[in-house]
Amino acid sequence: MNVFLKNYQFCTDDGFIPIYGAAVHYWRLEREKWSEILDKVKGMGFTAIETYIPWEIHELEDGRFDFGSLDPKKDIDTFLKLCEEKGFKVIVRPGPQINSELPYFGYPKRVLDNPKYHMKTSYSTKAILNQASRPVPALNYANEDLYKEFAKWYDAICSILKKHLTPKGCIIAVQVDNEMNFFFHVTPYLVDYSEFAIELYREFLREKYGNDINKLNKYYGTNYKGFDEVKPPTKFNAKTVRELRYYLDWIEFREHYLIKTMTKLAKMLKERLGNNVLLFHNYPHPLSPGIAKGVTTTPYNLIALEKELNFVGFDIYSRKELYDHVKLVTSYVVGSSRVPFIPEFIAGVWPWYLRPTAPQDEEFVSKAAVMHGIKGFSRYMIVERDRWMGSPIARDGYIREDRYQVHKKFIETLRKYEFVKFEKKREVLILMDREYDRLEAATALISFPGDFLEPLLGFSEYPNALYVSDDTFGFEETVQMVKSLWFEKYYKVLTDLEYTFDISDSELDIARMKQYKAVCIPSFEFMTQKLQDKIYEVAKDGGIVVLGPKIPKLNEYFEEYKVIEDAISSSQKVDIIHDGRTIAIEYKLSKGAIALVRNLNDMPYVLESLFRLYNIHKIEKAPVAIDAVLHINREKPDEALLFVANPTSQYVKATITLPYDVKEVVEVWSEKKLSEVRYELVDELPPYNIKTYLLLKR
Amino acid sequence: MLDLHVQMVDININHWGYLQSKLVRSGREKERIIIIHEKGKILKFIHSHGKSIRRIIDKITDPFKDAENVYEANKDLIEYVIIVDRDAVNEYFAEVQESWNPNESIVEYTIRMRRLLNKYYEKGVIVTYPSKPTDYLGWVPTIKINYDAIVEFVNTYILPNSLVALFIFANQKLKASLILGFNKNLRIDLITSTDILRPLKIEEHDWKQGYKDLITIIESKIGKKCSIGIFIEEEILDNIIQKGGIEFQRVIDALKQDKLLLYPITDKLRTILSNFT
Repeated sequence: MNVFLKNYQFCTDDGFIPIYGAAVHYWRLEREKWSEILDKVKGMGFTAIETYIPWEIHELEDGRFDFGSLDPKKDIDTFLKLCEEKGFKVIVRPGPQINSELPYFGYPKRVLDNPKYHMKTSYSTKAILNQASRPVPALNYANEDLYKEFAKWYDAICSILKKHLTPKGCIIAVQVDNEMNFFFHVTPYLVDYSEFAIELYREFLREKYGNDINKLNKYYGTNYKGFDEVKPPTKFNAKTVRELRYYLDWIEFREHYLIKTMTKLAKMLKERLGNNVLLFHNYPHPLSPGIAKGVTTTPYNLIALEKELNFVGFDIYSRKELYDHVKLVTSYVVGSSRVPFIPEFIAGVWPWYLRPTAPQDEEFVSKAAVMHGIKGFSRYMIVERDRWMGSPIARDGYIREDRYQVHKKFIETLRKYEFVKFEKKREVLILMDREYDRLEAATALISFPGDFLEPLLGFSEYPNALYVSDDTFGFEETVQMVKSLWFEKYYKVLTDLEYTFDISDSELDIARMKQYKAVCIPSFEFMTQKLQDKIYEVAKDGGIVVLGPKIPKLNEYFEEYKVIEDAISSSQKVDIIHDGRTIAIEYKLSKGAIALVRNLNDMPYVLESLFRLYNIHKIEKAPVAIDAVLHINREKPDEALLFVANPTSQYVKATITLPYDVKEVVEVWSEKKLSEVRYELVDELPPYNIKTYLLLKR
Repeated sequence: MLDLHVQMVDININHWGYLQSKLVRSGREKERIIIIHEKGKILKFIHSHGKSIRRIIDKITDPFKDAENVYEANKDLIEYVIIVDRDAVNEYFAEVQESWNPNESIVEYTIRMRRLLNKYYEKGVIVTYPSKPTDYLGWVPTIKINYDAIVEFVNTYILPNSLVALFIFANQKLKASLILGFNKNLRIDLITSTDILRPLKIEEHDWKQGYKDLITIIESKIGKKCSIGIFIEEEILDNIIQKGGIEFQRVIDALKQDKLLLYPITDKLRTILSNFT
């Protein structure tokens, strides 16, 4: 059975297939327990098994491996056969980096501890990630010699994996490396300053500036004679707009570094496994659990990486109090990825996760992810193991009943009601210019290494208002700080006004932008040239684009670029009035329109007024604290799933206006039929609870 | 003190969460004022949770005095003030990372990192107020016990290749457990809980009726003798831990009243305690 991606789903020739994966680490379980444990996983309804394959564990010495001949627990070939026999699809993650709470992060010690492979910090030291049980040095993926080591591992493991690939075997997807983000050294001026990385940086600049140093000099205000003279920034020092490009390029290069290195590994896997294998990557939980705010793009560039791999996802490990974080991350993946899949989705946690989760957290977060459009996931870890706790199945096969039942019920319901056939109804997209995020990162005043306990100085690894520069660089606003306020305001206002939305960034292609009736974009005096072009195209072809607080007049090189300004200057203007005051202007283009909101506080009135005018889909609900999303069955449009979330700590009585007269309503998690419901649904929701109603149109 | 290949298995997540709540608090969750400066010029002056603050200084001249003044002017809004010299942050982390030793565990690395932080405090370049950085930053232990004292205790009172087990009870029922295995070098090579005893439903028994049996079962399951078993009621534990320290006299009182049971106990520890009980 061939598995491929189509219409944002995993498919076979027979249609959509649910990929509900469960992480089981064969080498950490007694061999004689494998079959019993897999049966218990099957009993929960999972359709796929996911496993890391650790180089660290299989390598005996350089070039010599044990795949079960010495230690039967390491017999990956037999494990895969067993999965096949039991009817599972399999997702494998052979690294080379896997973390997996292993002391050497998945690499053999001889590789990890070899100084010639280490990244260098801006102050010429090793870059050490503080993690248990042993802090690890970051490896320098720009070093070609490291790939010679990787090749030895890939040669060994791929010869086994190849036998199990679909359509003959069970393996449907292979992950390229793991959570690659400079070994969690995310702050921009910490790594990588090794000679190899600097050479890669200069290659990036050559490519970006068409090998024309004069072009670079023009934007940097410098007099370099060649690219070899350019040194990467080690500390943010810009005072004026003219100086910013140098730093922004470094931030962009860090994205490029991650894409380039993952692409290189993907190519190595394809050489060994063939071109038909689905390759993917997972970015880590974007912000540390508990400190979630805003959407994070750089150094991750999901859409750009998907040009090289088949799909990319974000891992999620959230508590129930972080509903907005789950909504934000899943809405971003749904709005940006080729297939909305969570490669690691919470089922238990690592021991140094502060305030570990209860089954209720996992139940709530799972439903929230599906509510906002996630179609597949892999539960990490469904079977407990060394340095992991709270999984539904313990390492000896013992069932932790409370957690087991939560996950079982969840999967059973997804399968029974065929959630994969439903599509989230949304007509609005919030889109962020990546260049604003890059500016936020570029203006970080300090850098510090990754730390799995907690970054010592109390800052998030992802630069934010707490430690980015307050300078305006001559702009009217502190763009690197205000951009988050605008994004968050769009997010909150759309939620409060009952509009369902996705989230993406400026890398999104125009065809996909055009799938939405309305696109909301924070905009300042400068904006990426390509994004300005896309906005103009979208609005010209019938879309509604909401901008604010500025119409951009500069591009990312801070040169004049006014495609939007020019388009609206000759357009028909309509004032949007609230309380007798003009709060925004709508500029009518040939088919669509661009609206400009100048004041953050006016946004609710502007969006309500505009979206009502253009008949944008919304779900009327009360009270405002609840959230609601409608999914329509693609095959049977008269069937819908209505998700209603109570993300608060209080009981609420929810009232929802239904999209049509219904003849039958069933709450799918409880399978309770609601009687006498026609146009309005009223129900009580306990704290941190999501109910999902199957609506059948009368 | 932690073996690089320590096994952390069968940890009861509820027990673990309870112990975390008793033993550790997170520095970054606390409301604070952050000041980042460069040679005295303030580049950042902000409240961690976005609140309006009284900005009573416009440059850093004496970081200790400045931190105190900012704290006093805003103490209704914050738990502490942190003032960092931008370049010192780089120097600090350079020194930390360069000190990495491949044969060290996270414990030794983190302890060194934290001790070094206090040196940068003394130099006036990473300053917190009202107290020193290690009282606020990162994971802060709620019980202030010197790490060297813990190592000394282990080396003195715990036998090689043995276990130490802690059981906390509330209303006679088990609330939390922590079982540590020590290897021949007295490094922790096992961290587990009573979950390792499945299917024995330990929570359902009155511990005072069967604590000796419990130790026997654990020893049998893990294959190591227990050096020290600590059995204590939650309220007694809370009574013993006061103001970030352990009240030794209250320990002695609890032992005398059988509200804290030590079973088994090494000879050396019994001897030293007998001087007080």
